[in-house]
Amino acid sequence: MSRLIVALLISLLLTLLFEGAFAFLAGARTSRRLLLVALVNLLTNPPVVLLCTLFPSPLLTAAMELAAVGVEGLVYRTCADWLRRPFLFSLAINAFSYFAGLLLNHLL
Amino acid sequence: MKRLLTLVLSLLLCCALFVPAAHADVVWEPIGNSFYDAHRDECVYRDKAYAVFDEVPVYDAPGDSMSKWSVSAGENVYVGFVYTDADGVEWGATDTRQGEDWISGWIDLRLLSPVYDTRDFLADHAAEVQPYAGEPAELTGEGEWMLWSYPGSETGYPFQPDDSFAWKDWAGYVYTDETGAQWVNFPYVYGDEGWVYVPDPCRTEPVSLAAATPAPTMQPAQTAQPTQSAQATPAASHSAALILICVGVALVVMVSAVLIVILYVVKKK
Repeated sequence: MSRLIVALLISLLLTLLFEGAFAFLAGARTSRRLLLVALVNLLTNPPVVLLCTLFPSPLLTAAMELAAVGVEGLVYRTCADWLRRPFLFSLAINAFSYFAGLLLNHLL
Repeated sequence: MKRLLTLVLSLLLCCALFVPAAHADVVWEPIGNSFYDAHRDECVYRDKAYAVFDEVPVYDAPGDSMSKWSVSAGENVYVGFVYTDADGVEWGATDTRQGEDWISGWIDLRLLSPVYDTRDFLADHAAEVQPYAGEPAELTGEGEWMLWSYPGSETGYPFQPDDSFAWKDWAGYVYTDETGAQWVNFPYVYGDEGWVYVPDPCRTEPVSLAAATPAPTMQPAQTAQPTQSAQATPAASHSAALILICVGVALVVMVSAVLIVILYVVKKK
């Protein structure tokens, strides 16, 4: 169980780091906008990581990641009027985070 | 913004091309196992099959409390790498097919019995085995040849040598059994290794030899009692811990949702 908690925490921290950096580069330069990105990740990352860890399956991982992109896109559309294409932003930021994580795993 | 996003997506797709190549290797390695990735240097290559006599759990990492899958009694498992934990317990890395994919995990080798194989035979019969040096000169058989695990084994796999198969180039050792019959060892042929019975390479019935080693007995590899780290956590406390984690995650999600609504939806209005 401790390994599950560690996995959840590390995944969340890395996601916040990667997506925060991506959002900053994409124009989220105020603390309010960066806070929204952080809250959106707190909303989706823990349940996705928990389910994918308990039930490892590439199909489930893909489905959960797509669901996260959808949910985050909806939140950005509602709350981030500074984003012209909220769903594209959500897709890009999640793809960046996912592949950055894969690359980090590979390098380590 | 659009150009930046397009550029980033393109770069990410290029990076993804390199990810599968990291695991392209002749030696089997557990794929997608974070424990192996973190302890690769501490693992020793074993490359051996083990027999299972009682249902045995397989974990994502040595000492985990929740098993990933179980191996049924009567099955054999292939162990590629072995990790020895702080208590001296050997854990074998193995895998199984789940749908279209393979998943890997760790199994307590104390609960398994090693399957006698070619390496064991070569070690036990070192004085009677000679490197192939031209004898036998002929090895012929119409149809599929049988590749036996070791001389006298009951386990064999058929393979069809094609017309260009230069068997002398692949022969490793020669063993002469108590009846005077010769066996030629092939360390690697068509992805397998084993022995061919020279008098009748296509024989499908096992050759009974007095010196053949019997199948693994009901003895596990080790008889030591599992240490505390290897024992599964009682089901009740395991379930309670999992429920707590799920509740924690649900709380984080709810608090985040409430904060988003308060800070960005209500205040915007």
